[in-house]
Amino acid sequence: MKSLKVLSIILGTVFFLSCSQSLDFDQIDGYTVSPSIAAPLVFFTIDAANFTTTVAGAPIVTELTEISDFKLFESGFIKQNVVQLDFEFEVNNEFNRDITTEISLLDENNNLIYKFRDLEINKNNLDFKQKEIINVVTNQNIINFTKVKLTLSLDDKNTPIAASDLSKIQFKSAIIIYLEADL
Amino acid sequence: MRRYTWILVFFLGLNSFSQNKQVLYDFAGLPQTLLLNPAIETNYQFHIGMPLLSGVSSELGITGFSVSDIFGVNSNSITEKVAAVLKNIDPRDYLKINSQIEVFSAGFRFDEKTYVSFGFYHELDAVGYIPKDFLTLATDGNATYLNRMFNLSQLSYKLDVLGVIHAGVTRKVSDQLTLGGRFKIYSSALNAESTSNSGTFTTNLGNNNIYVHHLDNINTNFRTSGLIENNEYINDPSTYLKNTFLGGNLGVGLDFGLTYLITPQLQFSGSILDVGFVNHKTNIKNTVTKGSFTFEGITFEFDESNVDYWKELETAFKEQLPNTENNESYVSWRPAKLNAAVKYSFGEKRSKYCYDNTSKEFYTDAFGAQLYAVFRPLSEQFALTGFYEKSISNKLHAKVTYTIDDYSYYNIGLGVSAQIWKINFYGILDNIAALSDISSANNISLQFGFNFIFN
Repeated sequence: MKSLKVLSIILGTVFFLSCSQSLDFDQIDGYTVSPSIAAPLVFFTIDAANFTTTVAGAPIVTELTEISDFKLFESGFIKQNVVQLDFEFEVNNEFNRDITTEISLLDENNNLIYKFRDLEINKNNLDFKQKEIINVVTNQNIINFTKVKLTLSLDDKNTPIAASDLSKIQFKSAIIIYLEADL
Repeated sequence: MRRYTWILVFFLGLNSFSQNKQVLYDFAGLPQTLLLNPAIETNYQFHIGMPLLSGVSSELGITGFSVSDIFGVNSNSITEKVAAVLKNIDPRDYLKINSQIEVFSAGFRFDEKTYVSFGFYHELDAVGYIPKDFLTLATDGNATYLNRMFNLSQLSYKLDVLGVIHAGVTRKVSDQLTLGGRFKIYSSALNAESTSNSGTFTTNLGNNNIYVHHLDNINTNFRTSGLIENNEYINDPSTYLKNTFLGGNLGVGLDFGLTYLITPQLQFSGSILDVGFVNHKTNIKNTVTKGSFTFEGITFEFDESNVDYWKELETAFKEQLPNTENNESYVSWRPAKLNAAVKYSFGEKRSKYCYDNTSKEFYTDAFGAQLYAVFRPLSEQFALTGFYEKSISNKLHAKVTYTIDDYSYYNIGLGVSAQIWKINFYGILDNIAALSDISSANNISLQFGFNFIFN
């Protein structure tokens, strides 16, 4: 019995002395992550061949258009938690011609969701940059875009580009997606 | 509630890994010390462990941070606290949990020199390294980390739930030397592991476009056994329990040990445990991703061919970085453990009653040093322990340890063993210095049990 008493005293003392500082597990409700995801979008390089045609009598090519699916918001997580989108565009225009690029975001049925400010690039501008910030709270429809439409046109529609012109237009674009998500 | 359950799983379940039982090792001739070194000398005729209560042990360990660093109440928000923890941790930091329950144990003296012990225990054993790069990417994204390589090799974890049937022999070879061995049959109820992953994710400023993503040399393998049957998770706990006893995923292992009396007062002992493996072949689901992929955006062709750029991108991604599932069997090695100890006995000489109606002299005091090592997926873990053991009476023994390990440099453990009639009880608590603030502790463990011991 003496052994039992000693054992009880030792264990009792150890457990009696144990404690923990104040913890609040409810804090987890206030935890948010705010990642910003950078991703490349569309890019291309075009030259005089894109503006010339071999078909006799065909009209002068002064405008190029392309549409592509861009299903960034297929992920439910991104769609539900995106708060801001930054679009960045960079253009290198070696031609001695002013150009304008129109970029639109469309939904599945090709309805317009958002149209960016036109990219107006002067001739021989080798360092054109434009950034557009979209607040998703004030543009909630933006998350429904699934396609990108881009139209690049020569401002002067009457003067064709010579096939021998070696100049190029290089276009780059990117997006930064800002998210805010609770656990 | 579900959220708290996940938090609990994260902190308690993610990382089970073998437990250092430095207080229990070679303590008071307890039957459970035979599981740490099958060559520890015992002096009783036979023993029977109290079913489910003969050996209960549990350990939780975290390196790099503590629970209070995140959930402590202060002026910082939890988001700030998590960010601070994430900044300070190292990819070699880990979470671990180990829990063992002896369902049944017993032993008997075969002859004057030989003691046979056997039993069956359940073990939950897991370790998970903290994938700092992966968490940084998830919480901050890549935009502010251009040119930084996020390394997938940091993703490494192993979770085992298994039953172990074992039988061992302790044989006194000479007056100085005792040898021991134990054979184990592992029956895995659940295994989930992903180790030896490789590959990097990097975002750079590009040449053709503003950014370019590189997924280089990706090679990941997520394995599970016993978790998924016919593409559905097994939700019935009784299935897991049933599979701990000779279920479909079996393995074998061995323990070896020796005890050598250098002088009547100076003893060396050592053991290597769980040298074995489990062959997983039932209810397997493995997910393998292998390849490299570079993404710099979608290239517009303007050639009026109506190319489906997005579909081309998806196809190229799947071809270059395929994600495949299979049901191939695999071998999972048990985490081998190494114990070594030097013990010097001194003090008053006393006699204790032994199994053969003789008495054996022993010293009331002992001190020494122990080394423990466990071999993990990323690296080995070592612990160095100094100890002092005191026999307060023939029936009451105590042991105090001081351990230096990954968790702290001041881990003090305390154990007591008492025998009343034929009933032995032992209780062991590790890291008692942390009891004044458990939430700030990096490691806490306890062991207790009841045995019937007959001389």
